Amino acid sequence: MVPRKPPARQTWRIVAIAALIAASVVGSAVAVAETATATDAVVEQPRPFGHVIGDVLEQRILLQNAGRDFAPAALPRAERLGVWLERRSAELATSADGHRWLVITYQLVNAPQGLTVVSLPAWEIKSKTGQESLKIAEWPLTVAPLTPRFASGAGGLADLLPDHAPPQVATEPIRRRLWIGLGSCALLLTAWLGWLVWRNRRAAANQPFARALRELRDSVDGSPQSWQILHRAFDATAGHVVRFATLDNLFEKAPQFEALRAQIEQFFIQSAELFFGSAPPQNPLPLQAFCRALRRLEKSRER
Amino acid sequence: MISEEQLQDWRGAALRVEQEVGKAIIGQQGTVRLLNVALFGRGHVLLEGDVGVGKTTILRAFARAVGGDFERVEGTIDLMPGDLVYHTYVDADGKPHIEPGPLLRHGERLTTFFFNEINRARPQVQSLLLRAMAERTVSAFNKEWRFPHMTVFADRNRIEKEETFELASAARDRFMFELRMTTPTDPAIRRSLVFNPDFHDVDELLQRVSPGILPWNELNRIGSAIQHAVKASEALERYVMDLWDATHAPQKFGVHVDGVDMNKLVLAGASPRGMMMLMRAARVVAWLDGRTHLVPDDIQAVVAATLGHRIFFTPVYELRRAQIADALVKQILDSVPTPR
Repeated sequence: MVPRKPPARQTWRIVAIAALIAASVVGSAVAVAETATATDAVVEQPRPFGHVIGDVLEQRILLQNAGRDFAPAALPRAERLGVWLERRSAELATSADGHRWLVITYQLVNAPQGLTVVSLPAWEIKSKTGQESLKIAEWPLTVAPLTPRFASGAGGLADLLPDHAPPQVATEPIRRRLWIGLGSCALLLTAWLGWLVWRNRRAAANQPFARALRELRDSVDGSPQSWQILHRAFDATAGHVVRFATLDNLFEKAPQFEALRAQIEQFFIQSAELFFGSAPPQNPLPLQAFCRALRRLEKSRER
Repeated sequence: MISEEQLQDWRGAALRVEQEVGKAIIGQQGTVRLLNVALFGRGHVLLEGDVGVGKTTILRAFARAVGGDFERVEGTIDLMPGDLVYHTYVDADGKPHIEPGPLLRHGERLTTFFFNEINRARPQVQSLLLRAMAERTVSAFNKEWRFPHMTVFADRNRIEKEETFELASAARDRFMFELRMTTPTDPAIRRSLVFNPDFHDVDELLQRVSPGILPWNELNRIGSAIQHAVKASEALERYVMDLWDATHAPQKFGVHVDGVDMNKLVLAGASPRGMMMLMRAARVVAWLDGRTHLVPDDIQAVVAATLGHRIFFTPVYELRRAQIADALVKQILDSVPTPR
């Protein structure tokens, strides 16, 4: 797709090309005599009039020399060019018809006090081989000031106008929405924290020995029921029914109880005597105190 | 009435049987202990295992240590019940003779009857043997023959299935234990079995075992005395009843086996005979441990061997018995609480 260009610019491009072709025809003999490789480039110049400070001017150079592709050795740097102009960028671009162009952008960086002619500078691009070069001719254009030199002071044409007052925005609804949002966030956060604390407390209360401790309060210390309560707590901790022979599995699963290994072993021996043996154990463990000690160890592992 | 001291003496003799068998058999302490338990629990044992793991050797060593008369029959597809009961031949004078067969030959002195590869024998033969096991009697020649001291050790090759007759569930229920014998895993024992020439000649190896350690004709009396001497507490009875319930409805005790629908797994749990066998065996375990009361460990020591083959699965799971049965028994033991 061929990009559409503004008519004025297209006209001036045709004029520029025609001028360049004419110049090249007239000066070809001389050029050949001077240097066989320096050629005038085909250039699309910006509009030559009607510019003011801040305008960006685009100069496009066709990268072809005598119908062959021209590879520039280097692109011109971005720099200030005299009083009026600054070269902002130099980029390679390919048009829809497949031609490669070097696009240079200039910006007018100064404002004249009256209508002034300013020229884009003439310059030359060297090829990568160094054997060829393209010449870009100087391009004059007119630049005008934005304001008259002296303000009249009449009407609104004062020397310096006061700042515009910023528009009044109704902040009350925004503030209300903000408070509602913040309040909702705080409420949500509080609810979440509350749920977290409640869940942790409930989980802690449901730990085997926490539960056992509660149940032991309702039973007689040393009764068969109280021994069974502790057995179920050990089973729940290990994940299976614990016997004296499988105590190692318990300590592997819950190493915090290692500290009470001797008492735990004694518990299982005494329990076997009580439930399966012929006589109740001598000096039975005080089960509530034992369970409290187990609960302390259990708690030490809770997060 | 057997005194406590006599029981202690017998215990010493029982432990000595294990020691003697241990001179010929290495790496099978568990199997030796359970064979001893069956002997004093007056139960029969079906030994199952891979080819060449030493099933026959261990049973021969045991029979030698126990003493009494020993008889051995090889199960074959053409073996008929009559072959166990009588033997016919024509003598040098051309006269036909009928003599008692291997089962009757020793009369009441028969202590160990070893049936090798029982699953190769026809069901008719198995039936005869099962009656002999259950009642310790056989009818032949118009009279009843009694073998009150007989213990049957049978073995079964679990790899070969061709030309074999699988034992019926009722038949398997007659055995106190169904033991699975596996190759030892301890590297030192494995090396010794392979490289030590002492283990290569079975007959010579068995000579190491002192013969006739037990007064075999008193086994029934001592077995009965053990059963009466070892007591079970209420808590233990509750535990055993819970285990029994768990064999019927394991899901009620939270038992779960991976990949199995527990509601559809069990067709029938352990039989009353199975539970009797369990208690008989557990009491012997307690006695061998020097106790006069049972603890759950005694029960657990024999649950797998006693109940593993007595829980019947629905057909869809029966084919996977080998994988499921062990896991189920372990889960039951892990899940049924005690003391309760």
